[in-house]
Amino acid sequence: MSSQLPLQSATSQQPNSSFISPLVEVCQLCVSFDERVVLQDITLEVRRGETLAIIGESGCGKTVLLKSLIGLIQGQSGTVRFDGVDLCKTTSAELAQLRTRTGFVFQGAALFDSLTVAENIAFPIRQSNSNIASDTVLCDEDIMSLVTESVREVGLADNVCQRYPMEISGGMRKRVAIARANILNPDLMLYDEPTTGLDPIASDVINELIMQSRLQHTVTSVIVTHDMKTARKVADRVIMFHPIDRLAGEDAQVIYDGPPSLLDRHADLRITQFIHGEAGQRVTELSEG
Amino acid sequence: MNSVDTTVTPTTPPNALRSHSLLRNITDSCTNFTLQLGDLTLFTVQILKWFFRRKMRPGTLVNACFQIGVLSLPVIALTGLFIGMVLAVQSHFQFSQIGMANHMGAVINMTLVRELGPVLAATMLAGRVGSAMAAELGTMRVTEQIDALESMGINPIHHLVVPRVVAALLLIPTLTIMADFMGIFGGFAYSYLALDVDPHLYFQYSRDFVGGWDLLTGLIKSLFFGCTIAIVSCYYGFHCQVGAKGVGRAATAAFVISFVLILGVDLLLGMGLDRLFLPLQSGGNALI
Repeated sequence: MSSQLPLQSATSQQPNSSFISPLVEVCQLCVSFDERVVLQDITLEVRRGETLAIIGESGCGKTVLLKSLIGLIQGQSGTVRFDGVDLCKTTSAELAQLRTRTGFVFQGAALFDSLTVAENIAFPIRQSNSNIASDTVLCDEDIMSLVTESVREVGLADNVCQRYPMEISGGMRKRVAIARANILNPDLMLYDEPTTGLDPIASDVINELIMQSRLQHTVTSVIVTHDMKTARKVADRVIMFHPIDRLAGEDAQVIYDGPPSLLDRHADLRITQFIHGEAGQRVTELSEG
Repeated sequence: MNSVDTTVTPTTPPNALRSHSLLRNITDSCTNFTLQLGDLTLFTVQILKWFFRRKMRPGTLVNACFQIGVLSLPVIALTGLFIGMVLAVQSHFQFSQIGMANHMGAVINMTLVRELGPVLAATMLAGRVGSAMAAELGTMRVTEQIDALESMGINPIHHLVVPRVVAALLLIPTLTIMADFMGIFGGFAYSYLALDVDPHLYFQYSRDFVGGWDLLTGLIKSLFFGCTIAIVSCYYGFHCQVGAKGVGRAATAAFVISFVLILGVDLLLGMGLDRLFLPLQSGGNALI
């Protein structure tokens, strides 16, 4: 199935996008752990079919936001809506049902190490099988053919299926995680640093897979990354966070929200330093404590 | 007047500081203990809720049973065998001095089925199964596998904890019977082969003193021990702190807390069960 959406500048090329309700809405979200505030007054929307990259320094709350989008972390105040449903006001059963419409690729892949690659990819199908009527349940053969197809789509050989996660490389693990997250054709894909720790070629393979998953079905994606190449290549829109403890006065935590092409032209020193990977005054600041 | 100030500024004496710090430590420990107890209770309520709310997947239960039951069999059998033999050595030393060596079967078997069998089997299982459960769940927490389950709309307590608790509840009494049997065999074998005790009298006195209620007491205890080990271990694994250190701490805490609770529960059940079923005991329903 080919996508209805172009890969580049999806936001600018969707004429009626303002009339379509966003898939994800975050409104004045505040998250803190004990005394430490991580997210403060975050408000953003992710439109349907859009690929949003969230960038920012380590510890600025990118992963916390990603987990908040599906209710894995609850905020102290503010709301998170998924397809119009306020996650704070749903029952645990409703939340579980909503989560079946999402796929999450974790930073370390988070494959179940007691299961083989095939069992990992089949896991979401088997779980959804147990929740539906017996006449619509997929049989083992159907599941295995879906798994094989999925393994091939992410560029892995069939013989990987019977291996355990510990027996394959980091890049392969990430690809298996993408296959597992995509197996139920989710509406929303969340990627937590999908290219971290991978060599440049493996990173680009992951980028291609993220773009490919958009071609296969209309999916909204949110990618947390430090990798500017990933952000530039796959995202329609980029949001940059700044750590709360380094914000001056009443500054907002989101310091950039726009297309990746305009990042380079931004005058904000915090943004230019980040995208060019320059430490600037940070070494002095860190040594002064 | 000389302005050199010779007055001592009012400072808190070191002893008072020390007691203040001690008091604060005690208060903190009490608060932490209460918080953990509350957390553990809520965790247990969640386990019960998910046990009744939704059927377990047979695969998860079978796997938990294999891990807890089948893989523990050799260590439990060995533990039981050695407890029996050690009891035989110690009892013979005491009983032979008063010329009652033939009575030692009663003491060995009574001690085994009522107390040492269940407690030592539970201790071994807390070490083998409890620590493994805590480490496994802790690793799953640290490597975000538990988050991955939640992200798929699967409740991790239902998927990971309930099967382990049910398997422990079903199999720890069974393993205790195994430990009892091996202990009885070990005690008898050592008494007969090494200490030359009359086998007929050995079992005759055992039958006179050890009743069905004694065996049942041990099994009831083992049910509670199994429940304690599984819940405590899953709790510490589930709430594991980050890193290898966190997993190590979870595994250690699972064993230590389980062991302390096993002893506490043993004391309470020892007192409670005897008082509750004293009339039954006096019936002397001999089993062995």
